[in-house]
Amino acid sequence: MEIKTVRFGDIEVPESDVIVFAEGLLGFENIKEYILLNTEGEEIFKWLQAVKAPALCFLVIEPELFMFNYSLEISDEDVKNLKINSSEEVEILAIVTVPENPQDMTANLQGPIVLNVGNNMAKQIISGNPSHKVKVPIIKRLEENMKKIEDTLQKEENKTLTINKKRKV
Amino acid sequence: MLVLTRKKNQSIMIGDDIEIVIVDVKHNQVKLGIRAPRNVTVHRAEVWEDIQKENVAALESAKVSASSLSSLSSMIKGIKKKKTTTEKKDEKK
Repeated sequence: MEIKTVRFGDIEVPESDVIVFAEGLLGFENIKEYILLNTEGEEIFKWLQAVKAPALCFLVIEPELFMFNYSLEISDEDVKNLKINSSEEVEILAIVTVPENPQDMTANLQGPIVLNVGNNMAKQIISGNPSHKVKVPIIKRLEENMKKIEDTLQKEENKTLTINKKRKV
Repeated sequence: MLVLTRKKNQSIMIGDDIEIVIVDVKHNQVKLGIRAPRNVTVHRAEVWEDIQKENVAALESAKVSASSLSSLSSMIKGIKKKKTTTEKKDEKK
């Protein structure tokens, strides 16, 4: 099927790729069909483009790409509604907001999108985790996480050194 | 809108299984207790509004140019690559 978009022009997508948000996105409740697009050079991001509204297009990112301990609790009700059978079927996406300085871009972790890749049913849910804010700075959080990982590796390295030393004694 | 007057520790029922208890009243603040089945989601109204507003802001910002996105993408990949190199170093040891 062909869909009209403002950002990408007219594009051809398989009908089976259409993702259905039964309740739409918050504030855009009437638009229920979207398509997820990858573009070259922007691999970290994806675009959520509305099928029938050319101008409706959101930039999204997988929270795991910048939050290494990310986990999301999905309510029993949502698991049932999205017909989720296993966690492998679930893809989580956060909508990205890009301010004037693009490096300050934020991800909305309070209202993440839960997508069942098995049946292409999706919903924007509300995270009950108080640390999941509506504007999480992506680059800052990623750098903090990298530092934590480096520190942990460093600590482990030191531990190994100490153990080795003890063995020698 | 239905308006009811309640005192501290009194409650109202919504349907058969949702109970709202007035836990405390202080100055201009009311503390509410909500007893509801697990499948009923309860959120402060502002949370909905915040997410709606953010969706609108995100839509506006989606006009960002492909070149600046692609440089952000490589920047994130760059930061992550540093991690992989550190890990590899660790493996070698």
